[in-house]
Amino acid sequence: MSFQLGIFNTYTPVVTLVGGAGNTVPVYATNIGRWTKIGNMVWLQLYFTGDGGAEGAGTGVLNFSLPITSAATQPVFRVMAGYMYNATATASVAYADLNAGATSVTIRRATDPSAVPASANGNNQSNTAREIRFNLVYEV
Amino acid sequence: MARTGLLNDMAYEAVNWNNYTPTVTLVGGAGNTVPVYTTNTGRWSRTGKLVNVEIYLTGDGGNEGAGSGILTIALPFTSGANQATSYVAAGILNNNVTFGYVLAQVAASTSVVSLGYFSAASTFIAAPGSIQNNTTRTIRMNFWYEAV
Repeated sequence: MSFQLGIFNTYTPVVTLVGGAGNTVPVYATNIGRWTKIGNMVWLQLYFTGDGGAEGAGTGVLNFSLPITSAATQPVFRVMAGYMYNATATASVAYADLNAGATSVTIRRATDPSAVPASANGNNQSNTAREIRFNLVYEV
Repeated sequence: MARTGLLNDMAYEAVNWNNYTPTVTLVGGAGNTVPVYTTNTGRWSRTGKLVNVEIYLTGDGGNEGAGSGILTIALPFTSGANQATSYVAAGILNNNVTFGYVLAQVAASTSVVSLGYFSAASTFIAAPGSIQNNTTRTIRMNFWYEAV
């Protein structure tokens, strides 16, 4: 894959629900992925908002595809990455879990800053006002 | 491989950090007084259209913040037209004994970053001037965005 130094590229991040039961993958009106690659680092913006079809459902964990597979040497990490929202009083910090050699990023959410972030699932994106926005930097 | 190596070297050499003054404003709302800080530091680096920013505002440098206008801070470069409007985790703020996660919103084609924070569990709001009304106030943020 070719790239220009510091120039951003667009891709369509694919949403999946991994595991769980009763899953319906949420569809967004806006589904944007933007990324740039410098050396072995990727800077990634993901932005999902608006009711573009099916509402999310189920206990499967939200995953979003990456533009480039993470490196085998990428340390497994969990970082505060952005924001997610479903309906009134459900805003939460979005955490990104990334593994080595991964083709997707897993999302967690914390409504209480002192609590361990729980897996974000389809039920957490069940409202027409659903939204997830985050930035991520990782090694490829 | 040689070309990739060259690009890596160029990226390494190209990243220098620069200072700027991150001007604070309050947008909209009512009863606004812009908080003034003793330390008002901005640092940025740019590689192509990728801009990394550090902002550090702390200490009682004059007026205390007031009002319902939304805290915004100047960017070193205008954002690009394709910048995805995005609240991203950026840092913390404190106001006396109140602490909150700060999320940064950089819209497309804008010269400022807007701040939001979790005022309570599950409640995320745009950050008003009044959240910086104590003499012990701080905002610290790191974030990146796509420039024009």
